[in-house]
Amino acid sequence: MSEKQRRDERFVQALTAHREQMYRVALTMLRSPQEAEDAVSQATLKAYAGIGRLRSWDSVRPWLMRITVNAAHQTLRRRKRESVYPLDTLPEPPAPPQEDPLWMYLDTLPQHMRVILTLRYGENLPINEIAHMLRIPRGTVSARLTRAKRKLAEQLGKEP
Amino acid sequence: MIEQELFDRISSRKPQPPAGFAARHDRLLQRIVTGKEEKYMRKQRMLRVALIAALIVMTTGAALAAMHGFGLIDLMQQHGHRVEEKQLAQWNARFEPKTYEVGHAKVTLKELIADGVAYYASADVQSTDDRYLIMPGFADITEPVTGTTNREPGMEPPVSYQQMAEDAGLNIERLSLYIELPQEGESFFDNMGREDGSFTLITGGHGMTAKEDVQANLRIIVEGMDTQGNLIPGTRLDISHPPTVPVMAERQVRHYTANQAVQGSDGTLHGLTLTRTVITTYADFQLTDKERSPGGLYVAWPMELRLADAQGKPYESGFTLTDSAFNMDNLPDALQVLVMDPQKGPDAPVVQVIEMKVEP
Repeated sequence: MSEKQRRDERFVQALTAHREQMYRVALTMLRSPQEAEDAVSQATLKAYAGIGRLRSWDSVRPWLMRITVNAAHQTLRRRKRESVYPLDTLPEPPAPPQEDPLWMYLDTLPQHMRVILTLRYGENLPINEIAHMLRIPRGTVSARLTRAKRKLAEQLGKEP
Repeated sequence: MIEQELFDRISSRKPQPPAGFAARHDRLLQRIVTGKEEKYMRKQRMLRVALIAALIVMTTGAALAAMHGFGLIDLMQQHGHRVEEKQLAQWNARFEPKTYEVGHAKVTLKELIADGVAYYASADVQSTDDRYLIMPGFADITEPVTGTTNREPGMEPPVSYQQMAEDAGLNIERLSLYIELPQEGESFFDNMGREDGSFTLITGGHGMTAKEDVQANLRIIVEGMDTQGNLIPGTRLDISHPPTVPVMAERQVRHYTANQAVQGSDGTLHGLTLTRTVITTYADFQLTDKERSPGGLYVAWPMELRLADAQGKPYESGFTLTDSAFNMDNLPDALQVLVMDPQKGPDAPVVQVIEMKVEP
């Protein structure tokens, strides 16, 4: 097996293992299943094109997540620039998988809080990795988490 | 709220990808590691909406567009680029449209142009046999034939390639078109589909820096596909043709310097090169961060960089098939780079202004 074949095999294995997580991260940011899937496709292509920059296969997950976040950000920027959605057809947030009010409140949080809560508690990612993915200091991640949890708790406290 | 409760409530109810996600992604991976797909970037579906919108709002240049059908002019206008009729006439005069028949598809390559930085092309594709439906090679079989035109409330949902083929008992052929050049860079594809199944393919890419007309290799690949999206073995047709790409290489290049850290990240913006061509002005930001060498792919993320004149008035986005092009009437001696933080909400506030001056 050639070097390229070995590399391709590892690439496919890594993408297969992490693609659902990539999808959920993109979905959290974009709120559109179709665009989230597009973002995963974009991220996959970019990852393959930039595979030479991956220092170690041990760090493939945060690397892929960072590319995915980047792809989702590009979509957000393009969406804003092109204003392709008429106001009454803006993408609806994905329906909560079950009727837990936490998901409803989670969806009302600002994007930066929602993303961090999802990464930390939905995907069980360590704070260091989230900081690396989002390119923000570790302390910022912790502060945003604290504020997001407080806000979520306030909302849930208002439940009848 | 305790940590464990959050883990339990969020992680146990994670949204699942849509049906077919894994299969579609498997196919993409397969194409990447076995074929040409690694070189190509697919433009977002949203741009296709923009293309459709361009048809509706088309005003100036409408006559020319009508002559050629939907094409690059429409895309340029959608991006706010001011196109001179004279320039367009020169452009179109330098390329003779050509028609090819491959499988059950007729492909008319009607526009092909390069400006010393990037190339752009458009082609009309239609079926030559009413028993066959032709679909773009980069599209998924479940995507709407008409792109995303029917988003408005109350309209019938658009029919997909799969549904059209099943309903009418049509065979499907997947058609891919590649413009291969000596220098390869990131490319993209998009299409504007019509209800009858015909479509206009738009393609282009960076990395085409020739200053004189250059010979390319046009490849058209047609493959039979079943209605589940599986390729049919033994049906692949692959033709090549060597068209000449007209290059309009008049351009102005200026280099600017700054040496300032980009707020909120580890990146430093130390330079900028602007290349103004007959089509648009391309901006190439030179960035360095602690981890990577200059030009690192994700340096300075998550900040977004935009250009403004020396008084701070932002330049409009220019025509390009990727990001980082601006509408500029000339290349000034001084300008500003606006650092924006898209993470802070949809308005992406400017968090820093970096002054740039042209190098002597």
